[in-house]
Amino acid sequence: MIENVRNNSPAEDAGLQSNDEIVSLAEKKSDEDSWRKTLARFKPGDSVPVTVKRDRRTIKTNLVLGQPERFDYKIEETTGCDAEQKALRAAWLSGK
Amino acid sequence: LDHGISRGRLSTRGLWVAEGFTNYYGHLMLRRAGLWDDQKFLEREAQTIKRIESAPGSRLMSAEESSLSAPFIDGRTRAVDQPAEHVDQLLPKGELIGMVMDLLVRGRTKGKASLDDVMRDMYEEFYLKSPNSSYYLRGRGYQTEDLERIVSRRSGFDFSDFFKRHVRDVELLPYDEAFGYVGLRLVKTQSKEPFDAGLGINFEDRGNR
Repeated sequence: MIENVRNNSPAEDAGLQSNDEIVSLAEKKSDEDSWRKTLARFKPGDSVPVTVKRDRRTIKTNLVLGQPERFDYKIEETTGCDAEQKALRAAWLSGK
Repeated sequence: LDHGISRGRLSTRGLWVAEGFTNYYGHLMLRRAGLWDDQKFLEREAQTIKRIESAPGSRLMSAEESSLSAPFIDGRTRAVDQPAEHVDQLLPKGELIGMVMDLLVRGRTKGKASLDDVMRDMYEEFYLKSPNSSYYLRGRGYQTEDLERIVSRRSGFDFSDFFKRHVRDVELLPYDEAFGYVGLRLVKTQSKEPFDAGLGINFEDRGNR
C-alpha cells in the first residue's frame, strides 16, 4: 500500500495517492522484493507502467522516474585536525 | 508532558526542545557511559541528519511550527500524510538543533561553555529558583525565548539570528561551522538508490486489509 506521496514528485505526477494498493509494476505482480528488483532495472527518465487498486477501481498509470534526490551522510575527521579541535571533541563526547 | 500532548491539551512552541534535546542527550549519554564509541555516536547522528535533510517536510515547517502541530498529529485517528511527515521530524530536528547549538557554544567559547551548562542554568532558573506554577508543580517551565536568552548569556554570543533562521525558519543548520570546531566534517554523497519515485510504500500492511 502506498503510505505517502511527496508533493511535486513522479508519483504525484502519475496520479498515485496514499492508500492505493499496488497491484503490478512493469506488468509484473509486485511485492517488496520484486518492487525493488523491478525498479532497479530502470533509470531516471524511464516510464514504468504501474497498476493500483483504489477503492474498487483498478487504475493504470505510468511512473516517470526522476533524478535521485536522496543522499547519504557521514561525519568524519578532517585532515589536519589539530590538538585543540581534538580536545574540544573529546570534552564533548566524554562530558568531562 | 507526553500524556497531555497525546490528549491534545497542550500546545507549545518549545516541544522541539523537550523532545529533541532528550533525543540528543539520549545518544550522547550512551557515548559518555561507554556503551557506544565515538564512531557509533557519529554514525547515529549522521543517520539523523540524513533523515532530516532527505525529508521534504523539513524545508516546509520549522521546529516551532512542528511543535505547535504535535497535539493535532498525536491525537489523530488515522494517518495524515503531509502534516505527519512534518511533525515526525520534530524529535530528530530538535536533536540536530541541540547538537549544533552545543558545538557552536563549545567552539565559540573555546570549550569554556557547553549545552550542558545551558541545561544546568535552565534547571536552576526555571526549576530550583522559580516559584511554584501550581500547588503541586515546582518551577515555572520555560519558553523558547528563555532558552535563546540563556544560551546567549552562557556563551557570550547573540543566538537570536540562529533561532530566527533555524528554529523559527527552515534554513539548513550550520553543520560546517559546528563540526569544524571539533575537527569533523559532514560528507554528503549520492545515495545508492539510482532514481526517485517520490512515494513511500508499506508492503507489510497488505495482509491486514
